[in-house]
Amino acid sequence: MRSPLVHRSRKDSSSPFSGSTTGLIVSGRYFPRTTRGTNHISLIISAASPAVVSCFVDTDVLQYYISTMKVTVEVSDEELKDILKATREKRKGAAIRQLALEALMLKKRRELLDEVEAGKWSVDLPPIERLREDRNLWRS
Amino acid sequence: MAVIIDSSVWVDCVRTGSPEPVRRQTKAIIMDPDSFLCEPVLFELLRAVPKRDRARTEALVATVPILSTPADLWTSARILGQKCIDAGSLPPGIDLLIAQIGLHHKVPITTFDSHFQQIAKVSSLQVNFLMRAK
Repeated sequence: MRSPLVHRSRKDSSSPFSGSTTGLIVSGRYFPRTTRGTNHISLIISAASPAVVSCFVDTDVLQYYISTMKVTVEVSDEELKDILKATREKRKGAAIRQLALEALMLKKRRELLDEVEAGKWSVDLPPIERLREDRNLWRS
Repeated sequence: MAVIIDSSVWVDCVRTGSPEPVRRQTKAIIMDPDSFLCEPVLFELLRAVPKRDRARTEALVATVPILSTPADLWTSARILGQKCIDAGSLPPGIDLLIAQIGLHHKVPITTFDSHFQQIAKVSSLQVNFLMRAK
């Protein structure tokens, strides 16, 4: 069962080309579909790229290709097994994407918290006790 | 194991003038890869952040996944509050909302706020109640 969690900034990783057998040509570039049956996994990542497209391509499909790009990563069978287990994903690409995004978020979090710890920035907030006493209607 | 980090931990982490040991303690808690936010915590934290600090604070909380808000949150939090008042305690409304999300997802709450212990007495809420480091 999938986790009931909502992840912000996470795009739906399901490809509109699931099950299709061909790729797509946009502005003379050929975008092949995910290679199946090997551990060469196409990872979808955000990267806006200006593209002029042919008018017969479905706009939803286009949006997917314009706002993402694919990279190939090589992992061993053992690593892939671990990745699928850790992410509880069934699809290889989605699992690697999830793992990469989670690692990125953790890295960003650490960087920002390191800055806070080093005193580079902080927030002018009242203590939590004051934040939570702003509407004590039933306390006299 | 997933855990909701309460606003009390977030506030003590980023608040100007927060003591060094508390800042270290809260940083370690928030850095846990299994830590989660929920909408009431986001609301409570971000509604009080001044404009000049807003972008960085929002960037920080954006690195933490959010637990979904159950559709019956208000009703179930009200019932939870009524259980508390029947047992003689009156936790703040926002605590009830956070606690109810924890109960819904069966996820414990890490907090410095003792009100959650009162809620735990009348429910199955799991609470990691912490003392501030000195």
